[in-house]
Order: sequence, then C-alpha cells, then structure tokens
Amino acid sequence: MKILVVDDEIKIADAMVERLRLRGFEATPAYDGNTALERLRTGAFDGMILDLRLPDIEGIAVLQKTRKKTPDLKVIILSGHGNEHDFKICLEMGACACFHKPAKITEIVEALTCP
Amino acid sequence: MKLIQYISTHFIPRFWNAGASDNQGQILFNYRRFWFFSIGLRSLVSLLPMVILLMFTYTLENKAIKTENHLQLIRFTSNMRRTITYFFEEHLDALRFTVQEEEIATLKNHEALSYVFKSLQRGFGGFLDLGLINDSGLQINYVGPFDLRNKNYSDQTWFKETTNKGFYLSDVFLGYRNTPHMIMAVKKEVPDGSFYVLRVTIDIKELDSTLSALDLREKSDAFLINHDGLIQTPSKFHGELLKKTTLPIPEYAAHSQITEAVDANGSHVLIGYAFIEKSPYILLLVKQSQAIMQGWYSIRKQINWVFCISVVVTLMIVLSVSTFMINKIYDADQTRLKAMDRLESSGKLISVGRLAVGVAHEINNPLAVIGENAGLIEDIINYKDKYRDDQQLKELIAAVLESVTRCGEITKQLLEFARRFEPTIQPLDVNKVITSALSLLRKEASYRNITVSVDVPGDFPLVHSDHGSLQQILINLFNNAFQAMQDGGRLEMIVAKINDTHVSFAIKDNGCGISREDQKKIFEPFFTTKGVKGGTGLGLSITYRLVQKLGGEISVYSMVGEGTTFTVTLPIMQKDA
Repeated sequence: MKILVVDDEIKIADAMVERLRLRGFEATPAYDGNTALERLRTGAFDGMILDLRLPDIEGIAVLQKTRKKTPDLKVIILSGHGNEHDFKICLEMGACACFHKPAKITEIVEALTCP
Repeated sequence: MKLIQYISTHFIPRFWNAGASDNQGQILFNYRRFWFFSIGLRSLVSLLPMVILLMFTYTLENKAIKTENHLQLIRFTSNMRRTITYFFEEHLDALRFTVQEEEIATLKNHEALSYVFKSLQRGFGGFLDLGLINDSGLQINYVGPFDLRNKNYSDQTWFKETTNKGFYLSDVFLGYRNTPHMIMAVKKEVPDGSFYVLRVTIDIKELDSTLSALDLREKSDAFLINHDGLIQTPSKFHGELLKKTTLPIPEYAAHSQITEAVDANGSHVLIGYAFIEKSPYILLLVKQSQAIMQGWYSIRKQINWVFCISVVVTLMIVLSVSTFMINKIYDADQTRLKAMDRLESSGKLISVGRLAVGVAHEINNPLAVIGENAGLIEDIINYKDKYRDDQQLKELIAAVLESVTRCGEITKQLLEFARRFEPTIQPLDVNKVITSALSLLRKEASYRNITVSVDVPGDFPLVHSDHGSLQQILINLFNNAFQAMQDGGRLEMIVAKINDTHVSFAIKDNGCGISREDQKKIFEPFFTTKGVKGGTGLGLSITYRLVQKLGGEISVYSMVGEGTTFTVTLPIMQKDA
C-alpha cells in the first residue's frame, strides 16, 4: 500500500514514513502542499496522511484538490492545531479520519487499512 | 414582632450581623467604629446646644424669679410697715387730741372720762381701759373692766419714760389681767407746773387683725417681735406669743430689708423685716423659699419633661440616620467588593486562558515530534531483533509515550478552549438538551446506581442559545458531579425561570463537596482536585468560558461532605438576537 505523508515538520514526516515502512507500507514524505500535489500527480498513491497547516497551501485546499482528481485516495487528517470545526469540514469533504497530534500509530494504521 | 423587626431594620446596621459571616472578610474600614463615631458626634452636636440652653434658662429663670420675689416681698413689707406705723400714730394722736382738748377737770370726772372712753372706743376701737394718773403716779380716775383706781404706778418704767419723753408705747405683755395687751400713754402739762398722764390699754387683737387683713398665702407668716425677739402678735409657724421667736433677730435697718434664714424645721425662708419707728416693734414677713419657688419648680418640671422627650427623639433620629448612612456605605462597599471580585476572577481567567493557549500552540509541535520519534523508537525496538528482548528499553519508551499522550490531551483541550467560538443561536427545548446530555451518562448512572432526577416546569419557555455549547456545559457539570459522588449518590437537576429574561439550571449532587479555599480556584485553568490520573483541570474553565459566551453566569455553592450545587444562569433571549 502506497502512502504519502504530508507534513512541514520534517522530523515528524520522516519518523512517520519510517514507522509506516516498518509496518509494511510503501511510504513517501512531502514537506509542503505543492510537493504533495506534485507527488500525487506522478505516483499512484492509495492513501495520504495530511497535516492541515502547511507553509504554502492550506491542508484543506490540498484535500479539496485531491477530491476532484483522485476521489479514491484515502485521506487521514493529522493536525497539530486543528479543531473539531475543521475536522468536521474535512470529514464532510471526504477525509476518512481526523487525528490530533500526537496520535497513536495504531489508530492511523487502522484508519488506513479499513475498507 | 413587627416592632422588633422595625427596630432591627432601622436601628441596627446590616454589618452588625454580617460581621463574622464568611466571604465578607475583606472589610474596607471599621464600620463599627464609624457607626459609633457618627452616633457620638451627631448626638453631641444636637444635644450639647440643648443642654447649654437648658442650663442657661435654669440660671436666668431662677435669678429672675428670685429677684421678682425679693422685690415683691420688700414692697409688701414696706406697705405693712406703713400700716402698722399708722396704727400706732393714729392711736397716739387720738390720745394727744383728747389730752389737748379736754380740761383736766373733765378728765378727773368719772362720768366725763367714761364718755371720752366711749368716744375713743367708737372712733378707733381696741381700747380696753382708760386711766388718768397724776404726777405722783397715782391713778386718780379710771374707766375699764377692773378696779384700778388709786393704783400707784410711780415706780413703773412706763410712767418714768412718759414723764421724760411725753409719750410711751409698751411691749406686749400679759400683766395680771392675763390677756396680751399693750400700753399707750401721753403726758399733759398744766399751767401750775404739775402734770398728768393719760394711759390706755390696747387689745392686741386689734393689731393682729390689721396684720391678718393681709392676704397672705399659705406657709407665709406676718407678725411683730420686740427688739429682744419676743413674739408680740400671734405667729403661725415661728413660735408662741410672748416667747422668743425661732427665727434670728435681724440687724437694725432704717428701711425695709430682706434676709434669708433657716427656720426651726430646717427649711429655708425669706424674711422681709422693718423696724417700726418710735416703737419697740420689728415687723417680720416670712415666706418659705420652697413656696416662693413653687411656680418655678412646676415650670422646671415641664421643661425637664420636654427636654427628656427631645433627647429621646433626637437620639432615635441620630441612631436611625447613622444606621441608614452606614448601611448605604456598607451596601456600596459590598457591591464594590463583589464587582471587584468578579472582575478579578474573570480577568485572571482570561489572561491565564490566553497564556495557556499560547503555550499549547508552541508546545504542540515539539510534542508531536517527540511523539513521532518516540513511536519510531518503540517501533525499532519492536521490529529489530537486536532490541526486541530489552525489557528496560521497552518500559522506558512506553513511559515516554504515555507522557506524550497525556500532554497531547492537555494541549488538545487547551486548543479547544481557545477555539474561535461562533454560537448558533436557536430556540432550544431545554428538556431535549438535558436528555441528550444525560444520555451519555445513563450507562454509568445505572452501573453505579446513581439516581438522576430532572425537574423542568411544565410551561418552561424555549431558551434562545447555542445547542452545542449548552450541551457541553451540562455534560461537563454532570461529569464533575458524577466524579464527586460515591456509588449510590443522587444528582438533581432543577431548571427554573428566574424572571422574564433569565433562566437558571441548578445541578446538585451529594458528593464530597468543595472546600471554601478551592471554590475560589475551580474556574481557573489547570486547577484540579482529581489528582495526577484525573482530569486536565480545564473542564470547569471551559464551562465558565462557554457560559460567558452565552451571556450567562455560573456560580457554585458547596459544603464539604454534603455536596455541591452549580447554578448556571442564562438569558432567555440573546442580546443581539
């Protein structure tokens, strides 16, 4: 399963990528919104772990764009400052699950693997 | 009962009973001292002039009345003196006239002397007898009730004095006839060089009736004494006739005088006296000082009464005014203290809240980094054979992750706390909101055997508020109540309409209660009594903020060991709605 990890905090993104790999996922990091969209365009990803606050474009905007082009992509929101209101919007837009940082890896994996 | 209630509201200041009670500990100043000071000063200012005026009036009135009485007495004495003098002069003149007019031969004739005696008696009255005495002291003619003809008076004082001075006026004496009388005698010289003396005896009753004619008040006395102090006419109070008077004998004075003395009974008397000229008599007019001042005493009694009543009324007014004033100050202070309290706590909550949210924002990212990397370490330990059996490493990393989770929970709530809150105001059925809030706890309630009762009046209005916020408020308060109670506890929810604009939600539990000290801090962020494992200390803080956002107020009443009641007051309509 191919996962894109989008987070401007490099240490978090890398750690997450490493942990997913250890669990058998094929994970790739992206450190800003545009890079993420670029990666999505070139590679076929099954899932994406998305931070809401990114240096270039808002995470919600990234989510919105992926909905049009790759509606099957599983999106997990992992936010440091997100609130219930934002989460509600994301869920309405098609995100599978929303988590506050720091989140438990098991919960994220569960969300990614659920049908 | 009503009187007591009236007195307690008008005369006993409110601080008096509030003194020891609880949260009014911060007293801005000493009300008690101020109250006493106010009463003291007002009383002094209003009573002092009254007292001074009263004393002034006393002195002046006393003096005036005394002076007036003295003048009156002296006038009276003078008049009296003239009357008495006239009495003697009149009788003496009558004798002189008789002696002048009648021939000595006529006077020697018994028949003729009887006629003269009758004429005198008719004209002036009071004569007891009449006698003619020749120059050798022998009474040669006599008219009267006794047989005194040929009685020899040559060795008697009065005869000698008459011979020397030409007339004589005696003291009063009993003589052998044993009735008080006096003698009056006049000398008549004849051309052959010899002389005769015409002598009359005058009944003292005549003189007494002159004195009695005065309209004397009770306790007053008018009588004559001689220069030795023997009483000459009957006295009512100051001694017996012809005995020495109990009053002091006054010093000689040419005119009428006033003197004060103490009589035999020990009472003060005012004496008006006058020496009767050419006689051995002193006129005494005696009045009891007590009686003279009687009028003044009755006036003084009335003044005293009026004064006492004025004092009582003044004191009551002073007391009620002071109480009223101190009550106003006290109320103003209390209101100010409460406002200060509220301001202080809300200000504190807001600033602490902001700080906490700022910290949460800053810390959350590093926390996430720690979390992710610690997770990665745990993964490495679990996935790599090299570390898999290292139990110590596993425990260490588990402890780190657990702490990260706990920190995450706190920052999450803090951020929730700071969330931009846009309430959606809509009319709410309070019953439904309560039911949905309680539904989350229903399971726990039945499991822990906690009784939950909800009391909403039948005609309760729809409350215009934010559904989510109100629900959150109730859930938080219910949660707290559940945590405070033992199994088998009782939770009561009482909803009431306070007035046309506000409603209240009271959530009452019979749990452990909150100490007075803690009650002041419960709305502060991070304050918790639930210990390390318990809550974040943000629940009530968030509740407080939500209630504020909805334009309401929250208060707590709690007794340790008895339970706690949180009361949330909300407006029925939002202001800008």
